[in-house]
Formats: sequence, structure tokens, C-alpha cells
Amino acid sequence: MLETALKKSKLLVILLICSITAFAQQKNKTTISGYVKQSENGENIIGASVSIKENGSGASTNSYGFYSISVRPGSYTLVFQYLGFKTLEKKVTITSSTTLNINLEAEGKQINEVVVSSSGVKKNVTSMDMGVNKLEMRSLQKMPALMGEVDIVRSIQLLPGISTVGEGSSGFNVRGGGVDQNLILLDESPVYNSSHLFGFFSVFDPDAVKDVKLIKGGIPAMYGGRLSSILDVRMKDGNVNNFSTSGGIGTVSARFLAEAPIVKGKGSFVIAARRSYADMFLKLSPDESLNKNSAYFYDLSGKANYTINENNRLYLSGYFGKDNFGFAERFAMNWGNGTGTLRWNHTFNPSLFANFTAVYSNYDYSLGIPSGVNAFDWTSKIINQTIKGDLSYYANQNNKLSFGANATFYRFKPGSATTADQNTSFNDIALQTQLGQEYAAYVDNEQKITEKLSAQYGLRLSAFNYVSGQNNFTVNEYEGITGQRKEPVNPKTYNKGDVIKTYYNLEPRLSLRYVLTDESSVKASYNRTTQYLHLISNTTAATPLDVWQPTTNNIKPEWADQVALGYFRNFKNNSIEFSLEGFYKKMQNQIDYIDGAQLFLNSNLESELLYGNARAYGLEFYLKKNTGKLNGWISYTWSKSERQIDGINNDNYYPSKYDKTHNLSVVGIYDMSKRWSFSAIFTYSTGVSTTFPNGRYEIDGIVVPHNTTNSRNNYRIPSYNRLDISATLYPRHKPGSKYESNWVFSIYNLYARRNPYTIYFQPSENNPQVTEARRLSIIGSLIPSVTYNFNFR
Amino acid sequence: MNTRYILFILCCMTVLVSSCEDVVDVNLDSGPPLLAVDGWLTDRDIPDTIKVTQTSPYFSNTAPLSVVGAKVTLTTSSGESEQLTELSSGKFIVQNIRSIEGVSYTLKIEHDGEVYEAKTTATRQSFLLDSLTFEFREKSIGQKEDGYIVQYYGKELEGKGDACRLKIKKNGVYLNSKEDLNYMNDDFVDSASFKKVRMFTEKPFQLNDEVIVETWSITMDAYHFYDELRAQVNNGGIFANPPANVRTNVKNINSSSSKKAVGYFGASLVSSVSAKVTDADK
Repeated sequence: MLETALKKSKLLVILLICSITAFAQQKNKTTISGYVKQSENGENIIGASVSIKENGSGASTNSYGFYSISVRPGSYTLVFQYLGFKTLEKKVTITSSTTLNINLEAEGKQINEVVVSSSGVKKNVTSMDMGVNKLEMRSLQKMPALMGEVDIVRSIQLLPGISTVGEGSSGFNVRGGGVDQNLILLDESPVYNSSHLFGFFSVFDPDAVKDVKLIKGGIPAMYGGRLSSILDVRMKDGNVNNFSTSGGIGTVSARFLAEAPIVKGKGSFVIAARRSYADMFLKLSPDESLNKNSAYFYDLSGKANYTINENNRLYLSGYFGKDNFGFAERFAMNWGNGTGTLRWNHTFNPSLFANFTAVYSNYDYSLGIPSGVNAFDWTSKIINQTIKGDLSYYANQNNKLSFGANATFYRFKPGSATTADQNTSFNDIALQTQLGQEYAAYVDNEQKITEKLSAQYGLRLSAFNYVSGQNNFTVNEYEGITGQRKEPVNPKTYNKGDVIKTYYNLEPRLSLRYVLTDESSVKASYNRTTQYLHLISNTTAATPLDVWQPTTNNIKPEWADQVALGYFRNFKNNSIEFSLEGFYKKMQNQIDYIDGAQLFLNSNLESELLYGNARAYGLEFYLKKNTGKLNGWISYTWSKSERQIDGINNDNYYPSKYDKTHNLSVVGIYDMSKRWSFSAIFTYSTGVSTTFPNGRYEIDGIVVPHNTTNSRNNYRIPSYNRLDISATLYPRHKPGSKYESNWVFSIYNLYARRNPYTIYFQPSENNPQVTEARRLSIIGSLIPSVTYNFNFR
Repeated sequence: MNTRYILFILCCMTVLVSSCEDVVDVNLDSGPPLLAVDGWLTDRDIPDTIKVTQTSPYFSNTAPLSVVGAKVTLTTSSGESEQLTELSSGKFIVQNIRSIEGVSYTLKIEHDGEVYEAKTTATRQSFLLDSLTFEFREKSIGQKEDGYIVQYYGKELEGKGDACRLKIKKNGVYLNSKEDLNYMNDDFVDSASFKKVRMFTEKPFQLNDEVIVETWSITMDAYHFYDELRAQVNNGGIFANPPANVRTNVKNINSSSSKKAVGYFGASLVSSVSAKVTDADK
């Protein structure tokens, strides 16, 4: 099977070699290349813009801070720019290829200086990016947050095109895609569950994060494996100049981070830890029903890097997080992710940059009764290992070629329950271990066709093998009426390692950009994406117990086609960015569930599944002011997201559970003085749709709701709106002191609106004959919080 | 075991999340009235009752409207047949036919020009409970007040595909709130012996309560019926399942007719164990 995969990718390889040799034959080519770093701590700057004044050509730094520009020999003025940093101009005379490493200085060097940049960066208009949003970690810290916890996933929800099923739900939905259709990468390692505390907070420790980028359209060929988006989170590398610490304490958790050089200027490390501590108060309670319970989460992250020489650098990073819950000795549960990434950056020559990565990632959960005669332990696990190589060839002034390949090996242990006591009433069970192998190779070229027109076009070939994970592995087909539980038929048996089914997919990608004026451009993109993993979940919000399932002989790979068109315009010397994007996305082989589906510990899980299509379309409006005393953004999305599943809603299209017609977010930050900064967030969205009954009957005295139309999501709950405010106080800074701090005071849901999460129907507690509609609000009042942050260097 | 614990976990999750709930006004459409059946044939000494009613608008908040003038007939695979007597409107009594292991039953309801049929089979009594114990627990998450929870001992017969419903009587009265629903299948307990397996009740028991637990053998289809029913009547919180109609085994024999039916007709073998909560249990 692998051979056929290789044969098919042969064409790609030939194509690749041809193009590289073609480019390589160019003569008289010289390059300027190097790294752009922060002067204060030596951190690489991702996405800094580098331009040449004389001819207007430019580039931006990659995920490791590397840039490379091809020029003819001569004298040039290079301009290095990054938001929040002082623009640096450098005059160079080039006779042969030159390395130029740059350190940029932060504009507000002291934390309590007001940051006022004079101008923004043109990138919004000139880059190929569309459907891409970056989160500025600096701004996040000033913005009001739920219980004072700065949170990346919650902040993403303020961007255009993003919705959720409701407050405090796990994950996020991008342009009508499911929560499992986002590839969440932490230092290139996939994170299978991004939530702590059932979705209230995310697993990313904000102190340890350097850069956050969300790609929801025009996805370059180097990314694959999920249909809807890429959330690329990069951790800090660590201070290469000196030892420093930072941290904070809020109403929910306490954080601490330490970073230091390993060898000054050559390598550094960073370690960060965060733990929620609300459960400490439980322990102090005299109430026995409380003090024996536990509920907490923690994260540990660490990263080290070492520069061997000009051309070689190593990075090792890891993350480990857990949520723990225990109710006395009666019940215990935990879940968490662990990831590890080893990377080697190698520059073969100034125009050929390579990164080789090895990744390990797992997600597991366990729950059960810890002791007693009916003690049991139920676990579920997904593990993956990936090796990959990604290369960028800065061919010439007009072409940047990216290519690479990767292989991922998955191990799925969907569920096993073991009993601890010999006298137990329950039998041990274990679902079959499944394996998966995902291979991909891609080429992608970013080409300047004319002064105004640029294109980025690429092709990704992906393959997936569904593999038996054990001897006597049984595979069934399923027969029956669509919409009802099907029966397994034609069982076949496989040995460990046998390939049961193989799929191939070609994924073309294309982006075009046409510059209209100095400050405006139009962009268009098309991409096909394929997904071989599926999160099996039929609850409103995803739960930590949901199981990842590979594509099998019965479950087909999901795939999506998306087209998007956008207008980009900057105002006032690039300090204000505006974009308007429209998109249409069609998704195939989407998974849904029969009524009353049994998704846990079910060896015939596939008998419970339904398949169909989804489509989403919308318009996204985004206005962002990056600089000045008052900055922030307005994001408005009009969209529709629908599903058509055979066996649901009489086989007709119906609104998906995260469909919200209108979605508005306004974020404002006002840096009033050196000591005070204020911020506010307002959000409004259409209520999500749900299914309401139109009749009732009784079984044994219990009132049962019934919907005679058999429709799904036939009503909408009332709209959602909320205002949050915060104030940040920077205490007076003693000259020469190495200690800096700030206080963030915030109020979430200022006007204490009881936003409905859902409305459901139940018999009244007092009189079961009376049925009522109940509104569930996750947050029922305003939530004030105080957070103290510090850093010491 | 699985659904029970998942329910328990989801309850705990909902409690952890400091959410708030209140009653709101919602305008709902009223669907057309459908025939609703609720009845079980057993091998108990008392005659069994089959209730035939019709669905009412969701917020009607009255006892279900009875069906007037229905003709209800029960036939067995062993060739017996009986037209049921309408005791009061919509309440039909089975006089002669009893539930016998392995026998299939068809309930036929003729009403308003339509004919509905429900088919079921009496399955073996596979969950054999031999005794009950009580354990005192203080009020906690998931338990409304101090009191005794009930647990059982027993065994399950070899061979997969068995299911049962456990009905609890406290001081002679059936507990019938949605929290008192107990049912299981033998997926994870085939030929197991049960030791101190907990049953769920809305409220714990108190000293001197007389508790009778009846085991009703049910088909797998009936098991799924109760499982879907429980999911729908407890469907709240952030991890709610999509609202969906609970299955029924009552079908209009004219499948193209717009008049459908809801509810369930089943046949069970019933056995029981009893115990009294005493000081010794504390």
C-alpha cells in the first residue's frame, strides 16, 4: 500500500526537483538573509516585515524569525518593521550573499510606558494572507477576561468568522465548521482538546505563548489534516540575555514563568507553570460534602533552544496539562494533553531554509470509582507521532517555493474499562486498538507575477491507511435503515499491522492578490482540505470524554472546498486596517448520529453514525486600529451554516448548532496615561437554534416531549449580548528597579444579563404534571475579578 | 453501567458550572394529536392495564386526553386472542392473557378509521436479584438529603442480549419520577454476580421504609426506549443531547398515513425482592 502511495507521490517529487533545478540555475543571484529578533530577550520575531526601499520588494520572517531576499548586487536601504517595535532602517552594500541579523527594540521598553506607534505596517494589504488573524499577546493582557484569566481560545471568538455553541463551551467553530475541524498546533504539535474546566478556559498558558495565528481561509498547502482552520500557537523561546521571571495571581489560577540563557547568546530555556487554586478553599471547608472533593487543572510547559552555529539551531519543547476532579472516594476523573516537539532549523544556503520536526502528542482521559467493591477505571487515549520536513526555497525576487513531506502514526485506544476488585459485578471490556497512518507531501509557490499581481498556488497529496491495531481485529460493514441503528454484517478479521483501507486525496490550493492602490488590494482564494480524524460527539458542547475516531472502511474522509473573495484597505498611514471577506464552503462526509446513539464503549460505534453534507457562507467585516492611545477592533460576521444529513430533519438542510446569523464584537483599549489603561468588549450574536417540542404524552406518569414534525433545530433561542470592562493599573516604577507589576481589575458581563445558553423543556420540580420551558444561563450575573501580574529581570 | 455513569458525570459537570436556570415563556406551535400508548403485559397476579390516550400541546398541563371509542385487541403467538375491556375511558384491562417467556404479543388498536399495531415478546428473566442492602450517605452533590441508598446483590444469566427494568416501591407506592428510572442491559455484566450495585432514586430512603424492587424483563428495544426517554426528560445543561423523539413500537399499519402513534407496549416477567431500612444499616 505504501508503495502505491509512493508511486503516486513520485510525480510530485519529479515536479519538485525540476522546479528547484530550474530556479537554482539562475546566475548572479545574491541574497540578504538572517534572523530578526527582539533586542531585549533575543526572541525570534515571527512575521516581521522586511522591505527594500529602493525597489519595493520585501518579505516577512517565517515562524523562526528567518527571512531571505534575493537582490542584484548594489546598495540598498532595508526597513525592518514589526508592530510595537521601533522601525529600523539599515543601509547595506551587497556584493555577494550577506547575512544580516537584526535586533528590534520594543517601543515601550518599560511596561508602564504608553505604547504609541507612529505608523502601522502595510502587510494587511500586500501579503498573500486572507482569512488570517493574529492575536497580539500584549493587547490580550489588557482586555477584560472571564475571572481575569487571559485566554487565547476565548479571545479568538472575538474575531470574524468564529462562533461557538455558547458560553463556556469547548473549542470554537470556524466558518461553519465543527470544533474538531480546527488543527490546533502548539509548537507544531497537535492538541486534541484545547479546554480546561469543560471549556471555560483553554490549555494555553498565556505567559508562555509568543505568537498566535489563526488561518481560516486560503490555507497554504503546507497545512492539512483538518477542514476548517489552523490555530498556530508558538511558545516563547526563552531569554538568551539574562535570567528573568514573570507570573501572576488571579481569581482562578496562579502562574509562574522563568527563563534564562543556557549559554549566553547561544541558547536559552523557559519553563512555565499554571495551576488553578479554587479547590484549596474547598479543603478548608468544614463541610464534609465539600472538603473531600477536588477540582483543579494545571499546565506545565517548557522549551529549550540551542544555536549550534549560523546554520543550525535546535528547539525542544513540551507541554503537559491535566484537569482533575474527585468526589470523595466515590468518583474520580481526569483528562489532559501531553505534547513534545523536537525541531532542527537548518539553512542549507542563504536561500534554502529547512525545518525538520519530530512530534509526539497524546490526549487521554480516565474516570471511575477509585475504591470499593464496584471500583473501576475507564480510560481512552489517542497518541500520535509525526516526522516531517518543511523547506523554503527563496528562489528569486519573484518566487518563494515551499515544499515538504510528513508522516503521522496514530494509535487510537477508544475505550477500555477495567475493574479493580475481584468481587466486582462488572466485566472488563476493551475496544479494539485502531491504528492510522497519514502521509502528505506538498509543493507551494508564492509568485510575484506583475508588480500588482501575486499568486500562491500549491498542491497537497495526502493518504491515509486504516490499520489493524491487534490480532483478530474485526471489521464489519453495516446494513439497515438510514436513521436507525444498523446491524453489523460481513465480519472480516485482520492481524496486527494489516492495512484495512487506504484513501488518497489531492488538495489543490490557490490564492491571488491584486494591489489596487498603495493602500488597497483584492484577494481571492480557493482551497480543498481533507480530514481523516473525527471527534465523535453528539452533545451540544464537546465534552472531555469525546473520542477521536479514525477514518475507517465505513467512515469516509471528510473533505471541504472553500472559495473566498476579499477587499483589503488600510487608512491613515496603515494605522487602521480594514477588510471585507466573503466565503462559501461546502463540506462532505460530515458525521452525525442516530437518535439515542450510544457513543461510549460501543464496539459497533459505526452502527450509530449518519453521514451527510454541510455548507456555510457569509460575509466578514473587520476594522482594526493597531496604534495610538485608543486601539482595538470591530468584527462583524453575517453567515449561515447548515447541514444535510440523511436520517435527520426529513433529509432536508437544517441550521447547524453553531449557526449564528449575526455576530458582532467590539474591542476597545484606551491607554489613558502611564499608569492607567482601560478596556471594554461588547459582543452580540443571534441565538443558536434548537429543537422545541409541539406535543407531550405520558409514560408511567413521566411527561415526554414530542415533536410531530420530526424537524431539527426548528427554533432559535434569544440573542446573546454582553459587555465586559477592565482597568489596568501600573504602579509607579522605581527608577533602576528590576521589578515591574500591574493590576488588572475586570468585570465580566457588566449588566448582568442572563444570556440563554439553551432553553429546554422539563416537568416542573413541584408538580411533574406541569411542563415548563427552562432557560439555562451559564453566567447568570456579573463576575468581577482582580489579577496581579509581575515580571522581574 | 456506561449510561448510568455518563449521566452521573454530566450531572456533576452541570453542578460544577455555576450556572443559573429560570422558567421562561416560550410560544410553541401545537402539533396534531397523536395516539399514545402506555402499557405492559406481565405475569403478575393483578390484571394489567393498557392506557390509550392522545398527545396534547406541550404546555397543556392537564392529564392526557383519553381516546374515546377505541377497539383494543391482544393476540399471542400461541394463538390466544382477547378484546380488552375498557374500564374507564382510555384504560383497558387485560383479563386472561398473561406474559409467558418466549411468547410474542400483538396489540391492535382500531381508532378513528386507523389501525395501529404494537408487537413485542416476553423475554427471559435474566437479572436475578436475591437481596437488598442500604447504605447511609450524607447529603452531597447528586443527593438532595441525608438518607439511605439502596443496593442489590444477585446474578445475571449467561448469554448476551438481556435487559431489565427495575421498578422500586417505597411503602407500597411505585416511585415514578424521572430520577427513579432504573434499567440496564447485560453488555458489560453478562453472567456477572452483582454485589452492592447502586440503584438511583430521586430521594434517599429513611429509617423503617419498606422497599420492594421489582425486576421486569424487557427486550433490547424496550431498553433503548427507556434510554432515549431518560435522555429526553433529563436533557439540560451544556452537554445536552439534541432533542429528539423517543422511539415507539406502535405503528400505523398504513405506513403512508399521516396519523402516527407514540408510546410503548411491552411484555415482562416480573419478580421482586424486598427489605426494610433498619438501624443496622447505618
